[in-house]
Amino acid sequence: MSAHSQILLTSSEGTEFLIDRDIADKSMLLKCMLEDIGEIGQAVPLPNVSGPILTKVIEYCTHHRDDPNFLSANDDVTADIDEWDLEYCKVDQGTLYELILAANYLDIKPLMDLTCKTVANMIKAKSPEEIRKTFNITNDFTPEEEDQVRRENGKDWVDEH
Amino acid sequence: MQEGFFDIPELVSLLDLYLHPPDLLSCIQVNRTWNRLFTPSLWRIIDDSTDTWVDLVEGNLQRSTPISPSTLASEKKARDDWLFGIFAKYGHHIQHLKIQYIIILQAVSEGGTCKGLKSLVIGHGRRYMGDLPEFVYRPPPLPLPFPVLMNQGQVFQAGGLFGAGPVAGGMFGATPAIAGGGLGAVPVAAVGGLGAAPAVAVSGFGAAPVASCDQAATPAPPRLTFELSEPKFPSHLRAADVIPQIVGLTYTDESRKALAEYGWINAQHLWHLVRTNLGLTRFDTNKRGPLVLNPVSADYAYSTLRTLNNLKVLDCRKRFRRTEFWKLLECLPEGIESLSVDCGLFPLPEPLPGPRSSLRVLHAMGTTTINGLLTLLEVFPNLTHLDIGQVASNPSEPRESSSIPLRPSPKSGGHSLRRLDSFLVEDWDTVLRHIPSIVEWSNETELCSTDVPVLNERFGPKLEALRARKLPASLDDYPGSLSYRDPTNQFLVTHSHLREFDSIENFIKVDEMLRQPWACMGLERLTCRIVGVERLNKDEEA
Repeated sequence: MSAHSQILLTSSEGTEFLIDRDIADKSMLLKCMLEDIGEIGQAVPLPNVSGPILTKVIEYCTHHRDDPNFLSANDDVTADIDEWDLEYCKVDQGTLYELILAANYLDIKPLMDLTCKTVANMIKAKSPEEIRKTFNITNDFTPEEEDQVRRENGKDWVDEH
Repeated sequence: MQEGFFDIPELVSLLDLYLHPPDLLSCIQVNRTWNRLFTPSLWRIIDDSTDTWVDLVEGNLQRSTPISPSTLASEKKARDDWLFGIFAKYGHHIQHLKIQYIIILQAVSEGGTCKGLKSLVIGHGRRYMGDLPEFVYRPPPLPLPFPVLMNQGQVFQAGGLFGAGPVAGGMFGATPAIAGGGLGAVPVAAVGGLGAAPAVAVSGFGAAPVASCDQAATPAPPRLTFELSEPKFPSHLRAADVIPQIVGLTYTDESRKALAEYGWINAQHLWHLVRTNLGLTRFDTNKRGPLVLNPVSADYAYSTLRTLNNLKVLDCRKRFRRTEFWKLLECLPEGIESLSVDCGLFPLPEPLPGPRSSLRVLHAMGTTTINGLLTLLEVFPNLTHLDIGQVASNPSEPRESSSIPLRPSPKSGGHSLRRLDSFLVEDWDTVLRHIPSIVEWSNETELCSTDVPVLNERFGPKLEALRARKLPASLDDYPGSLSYRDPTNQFLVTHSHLREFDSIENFIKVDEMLRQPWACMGLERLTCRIVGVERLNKDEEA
């Protein structure tokens, strides 16, 4: 098998993407599949990933194709996100969630870590109300439930004095 | 698509790697879905020494304005009710539990829902003793004979916070302490005597005066007897399993009773929690004192350890009484990796047990010879860190004493031991010849001025870690001398393999540090005090 062989992928809409094998190997799903069944010369269907999202995923894998620390890149949960990755994640929330789902499906751990870290950064140091605004979430607690959550958080005993 | 992501709990649980407890607290208040998703994350790891927990536990009890005792009591009760309630409700989520507040231990155990623990660490924080009952001081009867005062000093030093015979001298009467002191320490003797037989402790334990010394002319104090409360979890721990601790006669009987009861209650909670979490891989009680958590008997320890089949890390120092190392080891699963106990390793059993290759770290007690040490390493071939009492030279003549084993020709070398901590190693040269893998040096006390040349000679540049309080001739000793090249820098310059330099009392001149061509480019951890910041130029400051 040549190191420069290429693989054809098909997105959910049927769009075809021709990528180098080493790019495909960044996805554990594709890597294992290709190792198991060999290159069958046909397009690999990815019914769970749309074209635009697959484009983004390929962009990420291509940028990191020669990264020797690819698999351990985001292991350090406290480390800052590097500049390119930061720019890469400047997308709308819908795209970000789809990227997480795609990274999960294709089993690309560094992309998974990066995108989750990005979502976590949107939550950090925010009040519940600020989180609701950020993610456009409606508060569906009943007053009784809200009171219970508040009490369980120790609010009765810490704040009211 | 938003729902797509937040509908998959496995994905959401990845977020909690990056979120701290305050963030998770906010998350569970967002809405019902987020509450359901993030509640397990919030509870999976509980460490009550984090700021969030310290605030929650101490919040109102640490106010600057004084409050009346009754208000304080009612606030404490409100706090306790809240803690017991939430741990009962959410205890089933907890997998990793680190406790510094004893009240948390009580709440988790009492709740009865925490059954999925993987690790349990007790007493790691500074507030460990915080919940102790109040001690009321009672001056000793006067006049005390002078030697008694001296002896009390010794006993205090020997064992305990409260100068008590049981703490210092063992649970079975204070006779050893008295014999050691060699004088008529009547108060100590009387304090010390628990009923000697553990069975006595079942229904209460009395301090029958022990008048074993000639000088015991002072009338013995009255016998102290009191009952412990009924067992809370009789199927897990009975009073007979626990070795109660009693503080000295310088405290009122009420104080002593309160403490004994307190230690009994907490021991019940600890062992209830352990016995309902048989999947524990780490159980670490941090060698904290036995007053708050009474130790348990050897038989109880053995039978409990036999049930912890996944245990990899065990630190049970001060939790067990009169256990024997090799018996205890038999009770531990094959996969045990780190073991810290306060029983003696020597003499080694005959025949030797089969190798336990999983063990990497071992802290235990005992004095041995170099041959004894090598024999021990046959049993634990993959040990990387060993902490034992003392390693004597091999005697030239075989000794009769069975306490120092001398096997004729143990296998030598090839060990993975990297660190040997010992109170005294008589012949390092021979030890290092047999075990050349040792490349770390650790010393609790201050290094003396002859140690550095010895270290240099002994290890040469291969030394990879140095942990000591202070290098000799540090800047402390030469406060005004700017030209003096500080030993830390000298050390770092000459030790190219050093990965760790941990010596908090040592100074390093930061300006020299930056200008030195350090040999140890692989240094990963440097702990010392820096001086000379004012002497840095602008580039260096940047």
